[in-house]
Amino acid sequence: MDFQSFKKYWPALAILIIIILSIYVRTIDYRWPYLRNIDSYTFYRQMDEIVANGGVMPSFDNLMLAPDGAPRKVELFPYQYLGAYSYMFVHIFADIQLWQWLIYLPAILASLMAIPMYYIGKILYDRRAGVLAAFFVVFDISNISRTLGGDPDSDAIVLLFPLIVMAVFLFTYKYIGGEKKLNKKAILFSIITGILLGLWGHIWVGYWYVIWLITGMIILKFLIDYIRTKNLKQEWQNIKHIIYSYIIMIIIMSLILVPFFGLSKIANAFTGPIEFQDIKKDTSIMSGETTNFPNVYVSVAELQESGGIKDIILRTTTLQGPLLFISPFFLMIYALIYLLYSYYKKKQHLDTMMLLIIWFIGPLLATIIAVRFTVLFSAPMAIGSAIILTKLWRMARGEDEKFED
Amino acid sequence: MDEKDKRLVMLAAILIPIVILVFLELAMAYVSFIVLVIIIIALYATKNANKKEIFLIFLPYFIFFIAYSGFLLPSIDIAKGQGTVLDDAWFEGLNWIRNNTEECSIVATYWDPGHLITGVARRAVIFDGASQSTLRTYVVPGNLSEDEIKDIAATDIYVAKTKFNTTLNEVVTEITTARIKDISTTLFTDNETQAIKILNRYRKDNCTMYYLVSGLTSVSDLIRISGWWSYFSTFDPVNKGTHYNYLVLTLSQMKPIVSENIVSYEYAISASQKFVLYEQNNTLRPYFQAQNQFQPVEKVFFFDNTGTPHLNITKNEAEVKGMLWVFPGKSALIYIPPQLENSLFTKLFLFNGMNLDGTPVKGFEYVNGWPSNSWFKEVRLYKVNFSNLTS
Repeated sequence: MDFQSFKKYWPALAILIIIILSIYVRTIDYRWPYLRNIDSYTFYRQMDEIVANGGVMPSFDNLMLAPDGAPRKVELFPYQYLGAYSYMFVHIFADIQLWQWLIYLPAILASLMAIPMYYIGKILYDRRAGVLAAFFVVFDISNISRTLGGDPDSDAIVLLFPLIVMAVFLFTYKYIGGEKKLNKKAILFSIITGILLGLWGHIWVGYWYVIWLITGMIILKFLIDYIRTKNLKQEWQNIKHIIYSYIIMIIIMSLILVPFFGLSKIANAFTGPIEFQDIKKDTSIMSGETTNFPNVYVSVAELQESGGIKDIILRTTTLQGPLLFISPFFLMIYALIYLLYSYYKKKQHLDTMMLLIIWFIGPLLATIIAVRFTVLFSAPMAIGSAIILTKLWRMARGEDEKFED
Repeated sequence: MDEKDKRLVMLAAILIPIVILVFLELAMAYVSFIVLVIIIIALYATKNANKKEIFLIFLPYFIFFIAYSGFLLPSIDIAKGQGTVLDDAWFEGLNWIRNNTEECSIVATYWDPGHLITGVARRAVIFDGASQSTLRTYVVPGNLSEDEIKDIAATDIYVAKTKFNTTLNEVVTEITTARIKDISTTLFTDNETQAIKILNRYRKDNCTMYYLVSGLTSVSDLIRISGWWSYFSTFDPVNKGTHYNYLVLTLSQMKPIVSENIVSYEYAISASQKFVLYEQNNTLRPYFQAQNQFQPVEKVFFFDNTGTPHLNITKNEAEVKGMLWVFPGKSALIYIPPQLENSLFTKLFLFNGMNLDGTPVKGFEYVNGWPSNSWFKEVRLYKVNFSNLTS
């Protein structure tokens, strides 16, 4: 490989190394004859039942809610099918049992976060930021502790999938921004984003946070541009293609979600954060109505409130003392300051700044309500850290002369 | 120095501290930083690097330090040290259940280990981590009176509806309860008949029901989370519930008092509070010590040097109510508050299915416990016998 080729392909090589290193670290020293966690076994059983049932998940669960059992919800179960079919594929080449395959699956899925994160970093800043963001996200301590080998809870796919959605959305967004029209390609990209959003809605109940990210980014862009131009007509001309694309995404997402969940799922995408507050009430809520029965969620450790900003910062890093000021949380803050300053001085990096602000504030509020949402911080922290370090690197190399460049 | 040499020097200046960082413990990371500073000062002083080049040397080290010390190393530590929630005792027990119970059996316990029981043992559970907040509707033929409904519900929060059931072609009464309150009540109650009445609503015809209790284990430590099951058991929408907690304390100090031929064992709760056991002539006197005040504790349960269990009721009028349950060898003890002393969980987990008066708890037959190679069973399985109820 000559130097020119290396210059062109080094990010691909770096991402490949990050993925391999990440899989290695996550499966290092696995020495138990079983899976790690309790919730891992619900997915293990569902995957096992798919394998045993000829590739289809049985429609009735005999073992939960004794004595009657319960019909399974009519959903796509993308993660369970991915696990089962990947096992059936791997089993052709290797004589391993399902639980053994599930040592590797979460490690592989979590490591694949490097790919969409690279593209997000590249779209929002540059290729170097993409590589750094990829590294930071796969080795983020909140992420790693939830996606270790042998822990096939849904965390790995829940972390990976929104990054794929956001990478494709940003690509679509930038494409439309560049073309300034909604051509066939733009429509196709919007449809793909919509399909991914629909699948994402089947994967995680908290899927609404990605909808809010996308919606928030478009609204914020409209507002900032409008404040700048003070011309509604012109602003509409600027943003209408993005709005059309957004409508296509929501329609396609709805087509995938409504047949399975009904219209409430779409409404929930927008009301989710508000309804989420109900998990802390003393009495449980059934079908939207308050009952006299106790609310179990008050006892679930992961849904307990965090101890404020300091607690959140300490949960996102192992660095202590003065080194906290170079922890990912603070690097993200520095990145936001840089982006705000750069926009103020040179009117650039608006999209990056908007997305990072929304991606930062949303999880911050969610984490104050429940500590389990610390993981949602990993992506904006990775992007922010990568951007500020890349910015410094650009200044050191003379590519950027001033801080605002 | 020509341009090529300068590049090599700069590369070395970047790599040397990084290599030192990789080969040193994280606590010694500052050594690599000192090396970097020395190199930078040397290059600057000898005019082999200007300010911009110094920044170019420093920045890769800085980025590597963040990536390595802030991300990669902690990740490796987490991956190596995290361990598992599932443990050998549970795994052994779950496999035993899978291989030695009927397929249609139900294992009743708190929701925490539900997925493990369905996933490994492949037996039905009353609820699990995905169905903690679900309700149970029990259908009884006929239009029942309020007293009959209360007797069947066996818990104070329920919803009863009478309606015509088109499948059964008769009037039925539907009694709806919360699974969390039902199972929490079975753990908390001192009345085994009440527990069996609740469990009766979860029976499957011609199938066995088992009742599983566990503690001092990472999977489902019903000792540690007793505050929650007592809360849900005592819950009502107005007054909420009350948390009652066991207190597990390890031996912090052992002192022989030679003059009085006594050995004292101390179990610290805080800097100023502790439980103290005085051992004399193979018996124990339990006290709660706050500052220099000693208050006798009502009851103590312990094993003597031959392994024989004893229950000493020190003083019925003791100022500190409740019981100290002392592990053999006195390495640790559990303080049981009076509200939990007679709970079904205490009897099944700490007293092997016996009441405090030495009689067996009715309706719960001990089946097996794990780990099999230890005297202390973290996981204990009982068979529920409904015959008293039906008779």
